[in-house]
Amino acid sequence: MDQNTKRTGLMNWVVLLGAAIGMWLISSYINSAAAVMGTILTGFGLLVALLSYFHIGLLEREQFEKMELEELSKSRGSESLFVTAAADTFPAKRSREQFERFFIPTCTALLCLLQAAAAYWPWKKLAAMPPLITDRAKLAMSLLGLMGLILFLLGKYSSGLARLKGLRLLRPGAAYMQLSAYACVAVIGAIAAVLGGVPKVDLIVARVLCVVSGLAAVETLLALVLEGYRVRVQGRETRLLYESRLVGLLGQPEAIITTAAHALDYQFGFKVSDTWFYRFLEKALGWLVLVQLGILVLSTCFVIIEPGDQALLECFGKPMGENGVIGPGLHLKPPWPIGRTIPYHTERVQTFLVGADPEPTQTIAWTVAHAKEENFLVASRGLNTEAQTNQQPGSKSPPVSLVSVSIPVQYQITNLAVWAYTNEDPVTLLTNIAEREVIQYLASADFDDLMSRGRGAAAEALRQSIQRQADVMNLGARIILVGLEDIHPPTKVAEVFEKVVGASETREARILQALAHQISTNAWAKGQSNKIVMTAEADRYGAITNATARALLFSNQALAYSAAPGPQGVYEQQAFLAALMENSADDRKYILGTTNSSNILIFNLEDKIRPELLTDKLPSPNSK
Amino acid sequence: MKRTPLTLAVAIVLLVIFGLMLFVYQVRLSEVAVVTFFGKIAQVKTTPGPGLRLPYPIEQVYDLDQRIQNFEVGDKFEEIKLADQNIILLSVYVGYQISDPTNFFLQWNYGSIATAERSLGDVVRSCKNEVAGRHDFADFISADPRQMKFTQIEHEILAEVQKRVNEKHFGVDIKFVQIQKIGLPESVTQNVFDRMTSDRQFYIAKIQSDGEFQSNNIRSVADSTASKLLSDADAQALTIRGEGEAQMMASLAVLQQNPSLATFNMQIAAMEQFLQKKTTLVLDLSTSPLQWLKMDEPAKTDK
Repeated sequence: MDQNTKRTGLMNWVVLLGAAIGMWLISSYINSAAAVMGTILTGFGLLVALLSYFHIGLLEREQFEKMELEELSKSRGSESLFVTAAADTFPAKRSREQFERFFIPTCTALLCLLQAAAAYWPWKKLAAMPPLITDRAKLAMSLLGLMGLILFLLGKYSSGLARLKGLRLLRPGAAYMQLSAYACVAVIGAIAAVLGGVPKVDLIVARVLCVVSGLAAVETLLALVLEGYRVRVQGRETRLLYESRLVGLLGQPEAIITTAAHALDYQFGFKVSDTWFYRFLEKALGWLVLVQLGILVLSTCFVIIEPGDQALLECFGKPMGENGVIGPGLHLKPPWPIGRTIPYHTERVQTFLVGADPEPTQTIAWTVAHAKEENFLVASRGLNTEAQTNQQPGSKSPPVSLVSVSIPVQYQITNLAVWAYTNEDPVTLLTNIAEREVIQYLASADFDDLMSRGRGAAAEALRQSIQRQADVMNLGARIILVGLEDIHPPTKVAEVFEKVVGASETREARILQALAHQISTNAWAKGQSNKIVMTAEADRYGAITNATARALLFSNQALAYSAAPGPQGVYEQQAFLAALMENSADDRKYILGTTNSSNILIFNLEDKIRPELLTDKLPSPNSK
Repeated sequence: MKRTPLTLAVAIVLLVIFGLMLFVYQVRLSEVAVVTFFGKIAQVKTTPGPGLRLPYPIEQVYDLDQRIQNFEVGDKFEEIKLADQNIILLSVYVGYQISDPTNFFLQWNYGSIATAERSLGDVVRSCKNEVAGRHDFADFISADPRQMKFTQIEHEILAEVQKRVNEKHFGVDIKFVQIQKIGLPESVTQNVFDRMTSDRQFYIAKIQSDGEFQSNNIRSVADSTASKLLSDADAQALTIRGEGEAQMMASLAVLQQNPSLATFNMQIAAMEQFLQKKTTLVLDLSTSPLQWLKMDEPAKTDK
């Protein structure tokens, strides 16, 4: 242990302290979740490097103490004085032992708790962070790159030193420095992804670093538990409790290759790591990575624009070519970050809504709320032109109605350069214009006309007015369609509107019922009148026929009568008796046989009462 | 290949990239860059392209967007009392462009768009309320488009805002102020709903009455037509019967040829009718042919 080792240990924690502070400032500067987690991991590195530094100091003191003791024993010429010396004879050694026995486990336990907290606490909290400030991204990326470079180079140096015998105490701090360097690269990647339009990457990288912290916590916990059961062999070098294998592995990716090589050797039964391919791979890995990086940079020299799209091509922010617009196909461009393309969907029909955004549903009924309603004022040519809205007594205002609308507006970008370079937020501006035109149109539209036959004309008028205003604002867009499909009275009054339709139906029903009555009444009357006329015809015919027949009969009877005329004639007697016999057969007859007696005959000519009326028993009133 | 040259190559590549990032900045066509040297404005670059700079914190570059910005004034509707004592809710959106980058940068917290829009929003709100307060409700909403002063109100607000912004040297040029939403207070909205309900109920009553009217009309016409038809039929029947009786009278001449027989026939017919119902006959033995029941007298026929 020499003075140089202690200086390196000092440098490690000072650099890690600087990196932690720098990363914390950057995370606050750009609101990056990944940078927050990078700061936390660098902070753990600082703790470990500090432990390592104190540990080195104690070992150095012990070494000095031992040397002094050896010098003293040589000068006195006798060792017997110190053979049985008490423990306080070696205070530095004792301090070091006490440090290893109590302080290191306590600090390691604290580190474990912090690592676990860093894995658990930020998982949800980071998601609630405000979005990354992209305007500050470039500066943050360059500072992170610089920090990462310093951490990487110093970490490499320290880990190289730690391979020397007796300098292993530098290893934990060096591993954390390298891990912090890779964390810087990861944060740069996350920021670049956010700039590239994938804002979620920042949170994903942050959560990956959370997982790393969690795994480190589990490893530290296992190390603490297993430390109690470890077999202690005299003279054997023990592994430091606060040194993480995981951090060492992540901080030195080449170690992964070595580990993989050992695993392959074991699996295949021969030294795969001795083959030419493995040796080539091991030697050329750095260059391969460089070539890959080169290819990555080269790939940014080409851009493919999809069908239906156009893009703005800029070199150092200046549009290339005539107006910087390129169409579908393969194009050459300066490499990132010199050249930049911003694609837009120019051919694709894009849509935004004015008014409520309806929820997906099978049936859209006026009386059932199918969106968070947004009501627009509509002038109403009402029946009562003096109808009041909200005016004070004495003032007059036009009657207004409210209408709930959801109007889709479809548009296309026709001039990309104008669209992109004239207005900062052309989509919002176009939406505002559409809202303004809709409000202005509705403010003078007639409610009933708008809801019925005027719908088509209103849609076209709105389309034209939005287009006119978009042209005035130099938007470079073409309005394709303004749909007035979902326009209806607010839900609160929709029911009474439906009742109007119901009333119309009722009116029609009543008219139809009356028409049915008309048809049936007229038909019956026609039939009845026919019947009356026909009956009269029949009567006339009967009367005439009867009279004719009677006349004929009478002529014949006259002939018979002339043969025996008069009351005593046979004709009359025969006719009388025949009529009497025929018609009195069922009559009640009383014949008075004696004519010379003085008896008084009394006849009861009352009709007989039916016997059952007097004899039948009627049921009692209570019986059922 | 040793590790040292590789590390060196990686370091050089990274240094070049970071060096570019630290010493070069870009200005887009739509932007203007304000470069500060230890906090003091050193340069305003308005032309697009690359520029050189000293690294942070010596020089700092602030990009200002020179395109037309638009924003809504306030998050919600604002109630405004109008000249005719009506109350409406009104919101507007504003379009502006940075006209003086140096002034804009100095006044608005290093060119912060959010800060500038907050202050501009206050100015626009004030002008909007003032101008709207000079107008009647009918200027905003009217069934007659010629009565509406929508565009005029927008122009008035714009002129007022431009005047104040120019006086205060905000470093921006106000391009447009347009009405975005018009509404009514919640309590008034309920009144409008009531009016709409009454309006529809009027239509319902009108339609129902119309139905009743038409139905009754049709029924009345139908009943009248039926009555007329029956009356016509009765009249026709009477005529027919009269004609029949007239023709029947012709047969009476035949009867008149033998009145005693005709009378006899009619008497017999009457007697037959007489005996049709339940009749009780009290006859003595002098009634023909009961004289034959007298035991002490010889039969008449024998006489």
